Formats: sequence, structure tokens, C-alpha cells
Amino acid sequence: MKKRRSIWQTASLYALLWGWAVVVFLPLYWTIVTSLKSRRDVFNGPLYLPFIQFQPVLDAWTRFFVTEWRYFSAQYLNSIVIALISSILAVAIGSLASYGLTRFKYFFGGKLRNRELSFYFISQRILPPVAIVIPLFILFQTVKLFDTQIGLIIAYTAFNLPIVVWLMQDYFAGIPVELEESAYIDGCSRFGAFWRITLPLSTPGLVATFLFVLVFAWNEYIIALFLSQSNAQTMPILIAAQNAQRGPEWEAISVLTLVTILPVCIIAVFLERFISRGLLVGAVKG
Amino acid sequence: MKTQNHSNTRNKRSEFGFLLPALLIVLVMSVFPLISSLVLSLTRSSFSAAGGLQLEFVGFANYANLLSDSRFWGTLGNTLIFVFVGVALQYALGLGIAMLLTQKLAGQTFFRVLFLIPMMITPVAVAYIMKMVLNFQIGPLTPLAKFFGFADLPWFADASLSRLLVIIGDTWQWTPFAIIILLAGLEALPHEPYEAAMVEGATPWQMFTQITFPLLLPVSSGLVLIRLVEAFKIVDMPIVLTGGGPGIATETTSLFAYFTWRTFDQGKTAAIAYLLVIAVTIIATLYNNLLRKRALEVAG
Repeated sequence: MKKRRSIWQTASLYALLWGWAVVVFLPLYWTIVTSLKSRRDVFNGPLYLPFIQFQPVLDAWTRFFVTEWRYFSAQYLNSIVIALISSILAVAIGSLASYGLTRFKYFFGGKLRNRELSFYFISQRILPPVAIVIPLFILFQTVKLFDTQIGLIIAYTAFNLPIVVWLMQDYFAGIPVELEESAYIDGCSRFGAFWRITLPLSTPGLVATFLFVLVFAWNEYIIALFLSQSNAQTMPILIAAQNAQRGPEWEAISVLTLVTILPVCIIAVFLERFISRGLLVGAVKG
Repeated sequence: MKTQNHSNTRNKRSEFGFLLPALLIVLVMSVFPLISSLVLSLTRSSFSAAGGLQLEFVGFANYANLLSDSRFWGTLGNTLIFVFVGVALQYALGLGIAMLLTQKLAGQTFFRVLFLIPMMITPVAVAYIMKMVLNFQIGPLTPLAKFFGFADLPWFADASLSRLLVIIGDTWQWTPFAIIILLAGLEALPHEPYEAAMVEGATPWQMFTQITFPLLLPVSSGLVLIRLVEAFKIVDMPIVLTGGGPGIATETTSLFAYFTWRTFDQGKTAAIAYLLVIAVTIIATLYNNLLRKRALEVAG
């Protein structure tokens, strides 16, 4: 269906593609290179190539993983625990609600029906975190959840719930109801049909949604800023605080950035597969 | 769905069970805070001699003060600049790159994964990365900057430049989102209109304006709505990149709320947050009703 391109056209397409690749990659490359520099080389002007232009050292890396690991490990562990558990909870609770909204008819006082309910869930995303975080700060202090992992897990579960409801609705709608109906005839309960029939069929959607909310929870900053102080601090808080604490120690900041980015880069590889299979696009259209 | 009568109530109950946990969480974590925020925004908070927090009802005084405060309007203006310029740039770049990715070129998977990465990085880290890369004394662009004579750009002292810096960071981070959504949208487009256009001898530009762009409108308008709403929350990028400065040139409304909160003025913070919610809701509703509905009609 497409006309054949001339060599020049093909070359310029490649040039544009590689152009954007440079825009994306150069900052990442620079962060990696900077993490391998000594303090002196960092300020020695633009040195691009390790071994050729400067002698790479692992100072900043050993500082993170060895010398100051005791200090950093708490935040790293907080980030892992909080992001993982809150994402699992958000996917579990969110997909239940999402499934309910696609399969059953709800009425509350005649006015609140499925459409309103799902709009209500999704509209939570409109709220800027600052609008809800101050009462949560006061509430969490009263019930002793302030600056705890559990507190942030609850907050992130709630904050990611709308995304799960929204993404999974489209996915569940694409699974034929007939399968569940035959399960009912075989004596399955509502939940049994969902658990045994629908969930296994939705695994790709569930995994993709899980990865999405995992990244959001992993990267979240402003809620953690309000709801944690020292014990429950996460990596984004630690990174942001480098400004005040250390001045421009770029090699140390680069290491912090890289250890935070690395897990999500691996996730990106998996996520790309799901995205290219068309997850997301139906949800955006609706 | 055929169900027997006697099991109907039980079914209704279990159907409601699917919704219940999510409803409870949203009630506790969102409805309750939203109402309390409203109440808080009508008070002035202060610390008593004993150290406890005291709330004094002041009606709409916080709102009245804010609406006559040039700092509030300044931060709202900044937020709007970041939202509209940022989202427009991200959409334009995203569409261009997504169209490049639909051409049959070598290394597609590699590019798709690479192009996804910036949006996976926490915004505070993106801010530092941008600070390093756009540092024209020690950053990678130094030779280029010296050659073209812009090595001394006062990124942090000039209002427009520091705004540009935030926009660059935000665009680097969020263009990938536009790319993946638009790419998926492009790949789902039907082939027939293009084949017909080829027969009629349409130019690539005509095909883009007459076929691709209109057919993509539902996806485009949904994408812009999502980014619009999300961009209004912008706070982590400027907090690290510029700290809101110089002056309040890059202070967004969320950042203003955070700074106010640090002065322990809970009432004023809540009022700022409420005004921001109102602003987002107005803009999102206007966009949805005026532009998006029309776009969807055009697309049929």
C-alpha cells in the first residue's frame, strides 16, 4: 500500500529517528558517565569517554553500596516495599471494582449508576495531591500512620486505584461474558467465575496495569514529601534532598539516580511489549 | 443473564462486594480529605502556647486574600504556561515520532523501548539529569554552547529561561507518553482510506491532513485530556530544578501550596489547593465540552 521511498527520504527518516534517540540517550549516557567520575573529573569540563578522556573510578558507587549503604538501604528498601505492596493492592482492589463495573448493574438511590460510579473513580485522578494530602497528614498523625511504610502503602494504593479501574475496564469488556455464564450454570459463584475464568484470561492486562502503577508508585514524590519524615522516606525524597544536603556532588547524585532508574528501565522493556499489543489505546479513546 | 430467583439477593450482595473495597478506600482516602480540606480552608490555624493546633473559623477570608494576592495569580499563570506549552510540545513531538516509528525502519523495537524510558524515571531525577546536561560549563553540550556562544545562558537567573528549563524537563519526560499512545492509535487505523487516496494520487501531506489526523482525533483528544489533567499537578520538576525561582517565575500553584504548608498555615494551603482543583476542573470541562466533543464528532 505504501509507495517506495527514495534513498534520500529513507536517510532523512533515519536521521530524524536517530536525532530523537540522541535527545533521549545523551542525558542517560551522561548520568552513567558522571557516576564513574572522581570529584575532580566531574568539574574538569565535558569528559565523555571513560578510559580515554578520564580514568573511571567506582568511588560514588562504593559509597552508595558499601560505605554509606547503612544510610541508603533504608530508603531503597522503603521504595521497594511500598511500591510493590501498594501496587499489588491497587491491582487487586481496583480490578475487582473494574470488573464489577463492566459486568454488573449498580444502582444507588436511582442516580448513581455504573457510568457515574466509574466516572467518579476515574475523576480522582483530576485531584492534585496537595488538595487531599493535608487532611491525610493530620489523619495519619492521629492514627500513628504518619512516616510509616503502611501509611504510604495505603496512600499509594488509593492514589493508583483510579488508574487500575480505568485501564482494566477496557480489558474486562473485551472478554466474552458467555464464558462466565457457563461457569454460573456449573454452579460457580460470582467471585468464583471471576477468579477462575476471567482473571486467568486477563493476565496480560493485569501484568501491564501492575507494571504501570508500580512505576507510578516507585516515582511518586509529593505525597511522600507530606506523609513521611525520616523512617518511611523513599528514593525520590532522598534524591530531591541532595540539593540541600550535598551541593552539586554530581557523581553521587548520578549513582542515586541510576539505582532508582535501573529497575524501571527493565520494566520498560516488558511494558513496551504490552503497549505494542494495543493495551491503553481503547482506554484513551473512551 | 438467567439466574434463579432465590439466589438473586445473594448474587446482588456478592456483586456489590466487588465494588465495596474500592469504594471504602476512595471514601476514606479521597472524599473525607476533600471535605476536611474544604473545612480547613475556611479556618485560620495557629499554634497555641501549649503547642497544640488551634483552628479559628474565618469564613472565606483565605480565599479572598488569595484572590487578591499577586503571588497566587502568578503561580497559576506559571502552571498554565507549563500545562499548555508543555502539552502542546509533547503532542507535536509525540505525533511526529510516532509517525516515524510506523515507517518500516530497522531497529524498531530498540527505538520503542529507548523512547519509553524518560517517562519511567522519577521527575526529581529527571530534574537533576537536566541540570547536568544543560550545564554549559561541565555538561556534554559545553563545546557546542561555547562554539555558538550561548555558554553563559543564565538558566536560573532569568525568568523566561528558567521556565524554559522546566518545560524542557517536562517535555523530555512526557513526550514518550504521547509517543506510545499515538503509536498505538496509528497502528489501529484502517488501511482502506489510504488505499483509496493512493488511487486518487494524494500527496503524503494530504493524506496526513485528510485521513491520519482526523481519524486519530479520538485518541489525540483523549491523550491531551489526560496530559492536561496530569500536567496541572506539576510540582516535583520545578522543586528540584529551580526551587520555584527566580522569584516566583517557576513556582507552580502546587509548589506555592507546599511552601505555604511549610509555614504551618494549613487553612491557606487548603484554600490554594481548592482553588487549584477549581481551575483544573474548569479547564478540563471546557476542553472536554468545547474541543473534545467536536473532535469526536469530526472523527464520526
